[in-house]
Amino acid sequence: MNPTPEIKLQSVKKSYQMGEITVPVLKGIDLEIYPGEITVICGASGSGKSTLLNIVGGVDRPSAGEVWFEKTDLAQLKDQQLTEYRRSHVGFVFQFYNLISTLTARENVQVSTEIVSDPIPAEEALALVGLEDQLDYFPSQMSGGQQQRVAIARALAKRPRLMLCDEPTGALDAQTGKIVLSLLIRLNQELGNTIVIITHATPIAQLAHRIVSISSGRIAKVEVNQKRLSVEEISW
Amino acid sequence: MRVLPRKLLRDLWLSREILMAIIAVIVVGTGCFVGMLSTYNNLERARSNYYSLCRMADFWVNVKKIPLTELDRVLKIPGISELQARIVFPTIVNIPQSTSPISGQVISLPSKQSSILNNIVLQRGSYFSQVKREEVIISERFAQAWKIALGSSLELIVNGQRKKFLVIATAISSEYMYLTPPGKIASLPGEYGLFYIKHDYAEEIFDFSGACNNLIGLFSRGNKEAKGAALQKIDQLLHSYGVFDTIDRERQFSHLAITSEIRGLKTSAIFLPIIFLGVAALILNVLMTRMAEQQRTIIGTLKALGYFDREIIRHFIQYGLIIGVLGALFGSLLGYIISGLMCQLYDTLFEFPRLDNLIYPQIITLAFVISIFFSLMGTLRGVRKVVLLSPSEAMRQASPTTSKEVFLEKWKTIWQGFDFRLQMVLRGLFRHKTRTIVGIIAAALGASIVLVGLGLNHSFQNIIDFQFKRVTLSDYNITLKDRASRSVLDEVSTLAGVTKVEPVLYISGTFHWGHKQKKISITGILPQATMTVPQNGDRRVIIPNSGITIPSRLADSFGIQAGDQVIFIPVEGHKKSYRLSIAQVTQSMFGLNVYANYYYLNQLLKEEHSVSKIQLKAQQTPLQRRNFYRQIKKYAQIQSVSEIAQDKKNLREQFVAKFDGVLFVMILFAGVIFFGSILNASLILILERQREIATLRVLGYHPQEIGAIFLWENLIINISGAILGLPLGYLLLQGMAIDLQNDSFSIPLSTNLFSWIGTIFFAIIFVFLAHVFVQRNINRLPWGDALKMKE
Repeated sequence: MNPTPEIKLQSVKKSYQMGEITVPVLKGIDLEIYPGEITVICGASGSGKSTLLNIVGGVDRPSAGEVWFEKTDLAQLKDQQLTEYRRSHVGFVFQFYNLISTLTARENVQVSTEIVSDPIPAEEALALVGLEDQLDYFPSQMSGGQQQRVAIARALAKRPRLMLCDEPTGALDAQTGKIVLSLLIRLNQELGNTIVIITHATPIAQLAHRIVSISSGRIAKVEVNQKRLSVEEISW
Repeated sequence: MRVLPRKLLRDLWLSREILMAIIAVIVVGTGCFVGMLSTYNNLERARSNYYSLCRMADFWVNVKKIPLTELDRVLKIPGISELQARIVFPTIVNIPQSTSPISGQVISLPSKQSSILNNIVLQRGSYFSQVKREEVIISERFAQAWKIALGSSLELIVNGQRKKFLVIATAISSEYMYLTPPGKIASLPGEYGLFYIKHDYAEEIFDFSGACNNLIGLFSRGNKEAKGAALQKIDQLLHSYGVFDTIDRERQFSHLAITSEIRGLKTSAIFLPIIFLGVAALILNVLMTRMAEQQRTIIGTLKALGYFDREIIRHFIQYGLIIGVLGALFGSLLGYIISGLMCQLYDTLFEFPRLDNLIYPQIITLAFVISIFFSLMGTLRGVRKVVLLSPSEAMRQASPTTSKEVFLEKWKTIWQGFDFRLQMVLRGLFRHKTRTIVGIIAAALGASIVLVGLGLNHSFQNIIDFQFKRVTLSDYNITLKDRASRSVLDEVSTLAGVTKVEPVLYISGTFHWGHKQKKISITGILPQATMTVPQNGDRRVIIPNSGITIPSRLADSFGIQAGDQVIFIPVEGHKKSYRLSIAQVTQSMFGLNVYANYYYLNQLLKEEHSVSKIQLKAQQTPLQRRNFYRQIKKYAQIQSVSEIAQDKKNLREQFVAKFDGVLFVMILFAGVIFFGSILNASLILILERQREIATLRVLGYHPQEIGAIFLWENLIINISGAILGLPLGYLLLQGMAIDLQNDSFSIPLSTNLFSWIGTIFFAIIFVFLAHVFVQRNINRLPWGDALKMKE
């Protein structure tokens, strides 16, 4: 029997208003994300995967449907409660890192640690991602890979149940991308976070426990990956 | 320190140039507020203390002569609580160092020092001794101007006799806080003196035993309505003794001068800061909207990380808070400096025992509240829009501004005739409408301040020119103590270098029209007078052979017009009433001058060509001038002599020259508005157009050529704004004129072509000066990096 899903989406729809036109992005998504698993959602550009991630992370609301986290339907939450959900349970990693340029690596992580009750101290979080020697570097003094590791440290320092990574290797070369992915896999193994990664690079999906393919706003396929590959074994 | 405050400090440091420009505008605004209100309080406080110290009278009654026995009757009038009799006469003082005779006023004081009304405050020496009768206490500034030492002797012409007095002390009095010779609005310290002598001795030399000619008193407290009635009763009661004038404190010259100054300060203390802080709020709004837009992804990320909206708004609000606090802090400091300088200036205009520049915590607190309020308003409006976006929306870059045509593009031939840079500029202006409008408003307000400054300067010049080039055309005016016969003209015409003389006859009295009445002096001039030329707008007024010519303000206040007849009762003579026809009503620039034909006036009073004042034209060598004054000094019946060129010079020095400093500060402050607005708009624009600038640099454009695009944009915005500021400034000036006018006089404030062109000229200068900084930023832009930026 499958364990209880961490997140359960039922008939989730999302459309955007572009002037007078309504553009449907998600057209009825049913999806379950399980605790402690790495789920990779892949699909082409414009397939709706970022929107799906945003809804799971509580930064966006569905136009219709239900998003269950434990016994709460995120779709019904008020802004304040949704913020509370993100604050306590979700860590985000973005394609372009979204670090604050005027803060150092340590301070960027502290942006996260200051709003939760029992965080991993910024220095420790940065040590976990191998940046213990770059604590006081500003983003402009770091490579893309290093910046993404700071972003990961910022996400994990909150001890989130869910780590949501939006194209975490999208802005990196393959070599650096692999370092970042190894790190995520190691954190999943060591800390047991549930990780959702969205990517348009299909080989990355081979790292996941569960692979979700999305196409034109619908789930095309969900498969449990029986033959997970290691980071060294994949290339894109 | 937590992380977000650290981010705040670093962000502030990074945008320090723009912030300093905004803070400068706030500093000037709060500086004006604190400076002017503090000066207002300083003056109000000094005046009030001075009035208490001297026991300033509530009213003055000038009478020809009344016996002291009448005082009891006056005291019985309801509403009058205290009364004091004095003998006050004009005098001529003989100062050996001065070529011209100097006029002044003799005022009697009790022989023993007591707590009298309009008391003096001794500055040097001590009060009258009981030893000598001929002792005099002289006004401090007069003594200083002529370096008159205590113990020296001074010759006064009193009641036609030369009397020598021993100078025993110098003093000041609140009654003469602003001291000028009668009929003049400005004078130099040595030009007019006050001479306090013992009352007993005054009775003797003026032949006023048991009589006086000046009553001062206090009204009973609390019954304001009764004041007018009480004065009217005094007037009626003493009518037969010849009441020249009854003046309550509101109309007393010195009080009027300081009061209008204090009132003007209060008005400026309100409207100037509103302009500056309003501009600062608008600029801050533009800046914070831009900053929030620029930090949109950061805001989105913070939201995604779980920050509440209120935490993010609080973070951005702190920008406004810091700007407001810094603005108020430096503004208060500037305000303290401004009030210090203004007190120094007022100390030269008015005479106080002390005028301290104090710090008023309540004003500074209010300045902080206002400054922070305006800053927060500007910030909140700018930030709210972005912060209230959903995190996913905030994390997306704002969609690019629409690239539809601006309306000018409809005229293809014109549009295509424009250089592509001008097209960029025009498109930018129309697409960022809010920013353009804020720039225009700031320029309009800045320009209005410049126009007010230039307008005031022009008005002062204009008033002086009007008075001395068109109305008063004599070289000397000799005022006589009493009316003399016309033979005095022949005497005066023989004085050294005198080429022409003209008589003037003054008659003081009361106009009655229905229940209304007003003390007025009628000036009788020759039909073809060449030295007093009344003006009606731009035309010379021809004085009709009969009837009187009155200014429109008097006609309006009485509700009379040409053809009506008013009753006139002269102060002197047999109290006969005369019916005078209003021959014509003219537009008078200032004052309430009523004119009549000299012969008509003499005929009316049944007098034989009486003369109150003689106007002279003279062509003199320096030797003749010295001789002229030597001869004049011998005439005991002279009340005062004024040299018109000197009067004109005094006015210029007293008002126009002092105003130059004020004008400089006003233009400087307006410059701060232009600078703040231009730097803010341009630096934001540079940030936004980094890629465009980089692309142009790659194409081989020089930084100056790129800077020219910004210069054009700023010129268009600021010249348009300055043009709109012209009518605004004009309205402000008219508002000030209304604020300055009172029952007795008005100050016409106007602008001329020079002030309008000057305002635009200054606006252009400010744009070019601000452009130096803008260009420096363009030169320093790391355009290589800008090319690599993600869109």
